Amino acid sequence: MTSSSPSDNTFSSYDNISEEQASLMLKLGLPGPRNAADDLVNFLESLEGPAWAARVIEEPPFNANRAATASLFTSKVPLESLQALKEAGKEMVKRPTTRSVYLAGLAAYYLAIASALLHHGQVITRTPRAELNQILIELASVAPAPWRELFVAAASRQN
Amino acid sequence: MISHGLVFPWARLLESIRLWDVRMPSARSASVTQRRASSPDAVNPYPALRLGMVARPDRAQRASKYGEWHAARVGVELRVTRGDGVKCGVPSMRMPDPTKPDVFPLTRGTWINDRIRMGDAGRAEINRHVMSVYHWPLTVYFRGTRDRTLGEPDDVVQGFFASRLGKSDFFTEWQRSGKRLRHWLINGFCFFLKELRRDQRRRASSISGLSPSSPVFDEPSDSDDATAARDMDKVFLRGVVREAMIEASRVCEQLGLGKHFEIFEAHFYMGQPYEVIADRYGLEPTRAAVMARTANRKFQGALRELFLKDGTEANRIEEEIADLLGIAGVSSRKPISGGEA
Repeated sequence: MTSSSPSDNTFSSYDNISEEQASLMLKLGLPGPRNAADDLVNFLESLEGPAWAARVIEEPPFNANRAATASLFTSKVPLESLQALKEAGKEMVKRPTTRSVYLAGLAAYYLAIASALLHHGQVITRTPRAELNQILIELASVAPAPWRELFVAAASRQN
Repeated sequence: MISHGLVFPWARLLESIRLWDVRMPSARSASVTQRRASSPDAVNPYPALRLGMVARPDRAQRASKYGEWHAARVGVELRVTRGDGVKCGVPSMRMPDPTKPDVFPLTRGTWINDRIRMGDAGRAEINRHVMSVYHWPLTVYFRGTRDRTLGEPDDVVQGFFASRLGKSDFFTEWQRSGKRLRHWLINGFCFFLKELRRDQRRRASSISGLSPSSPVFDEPSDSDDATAARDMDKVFLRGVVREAMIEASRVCEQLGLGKHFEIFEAHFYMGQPYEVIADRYGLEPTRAAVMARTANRKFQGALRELFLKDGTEANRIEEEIADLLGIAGVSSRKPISGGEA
């Protein structure tokens, strides 16, 4: 951990930063290829994100199968229900009527995938596992509980 | 004469692309002209281009790149072809001459403009930014020059700030120069060192009673300027990352994310694998990765803020980072980490 504040130029543990190190770090400032999950990440990170996350699971497509939604985070839910939730979410993402419909679709899509991975050890997306893990980690870094725990546990799951 | 025809497949933007005509009358220059003056600027795909601006061919190609980038942002495909149907190559990310005003200036300084308008309080804020971001790079630069015997690096840089940042027109002059802020500062710093050398000679001659010797390297040439700018770019690259790390650390600490930052630092800065870090903290590696990602977002935010304050327009920060990486000889391509929905 550094020992200096921004205005204190006398010493910092980063004074010996090499050009190679700096270049690698600077690269972190470049966004990678964007994917739909980035929109969900950005929204979850916003001030309204946590309250929205608590509310959205009462709305479509989650409310179509309340039993499955309720067990998303806690126990096993049939794989077929998760696949149905994922597909419903995907449809909403493909043909969103509003921004909130689009975001709800994304949430359903990724929560269903994470739940299928965690509870069934099944990858129900064509996204390669390594990439999927990156997405789940990214989502977990901004999501509130209990979403965060689901995303972390799913990313940790060894097939 | 070669004409760059720019083709959009998207009809709505077709009109706007026809507004601009890039011509290269010779191998050394190109001109950009506006075909119709009535259309709104809002849909101009090249907001940096000005009517009648003359640019070098490689810079005209940069215009193409900006067009391409802009089109990507609005979700359309832009193909750039020359009048004879040949596709234009992807332009170099490297700046042709970093000391000269940019044809597509990255330093319009919106943040700084706002502060200049705020008067003394705003100027104090700008000065704080410049001192916090540039103190370290300038001392590192100074240590590498033949002038390093002029004084303690810290004293010399502080002296430079004291002599320049107090001038009321310092930043308006910078804006007029069209240079990146770091290049403007390094120019000023080189002149400041020249002044110090003169003073030193004057003092030496008054003590010895001899007339001052003729200056050996008093007037910086264009190539000196270019070398100083290139050197400064490399030091700035390290300086801006250093500053962003310090700022991200501070923000994380304030938010109770100190451990997150430590893990981020251990993994991304020191290159340690998550398994090793997780073991040290008694965590699952995935949890460690999530925590690092949280701190990484703070780092990215700090980096972005620094570029914004430095005069880079928000929509050109990636461009600026890619330029700096190009100067360091590093590819700006990132591994794919996304997925399909």
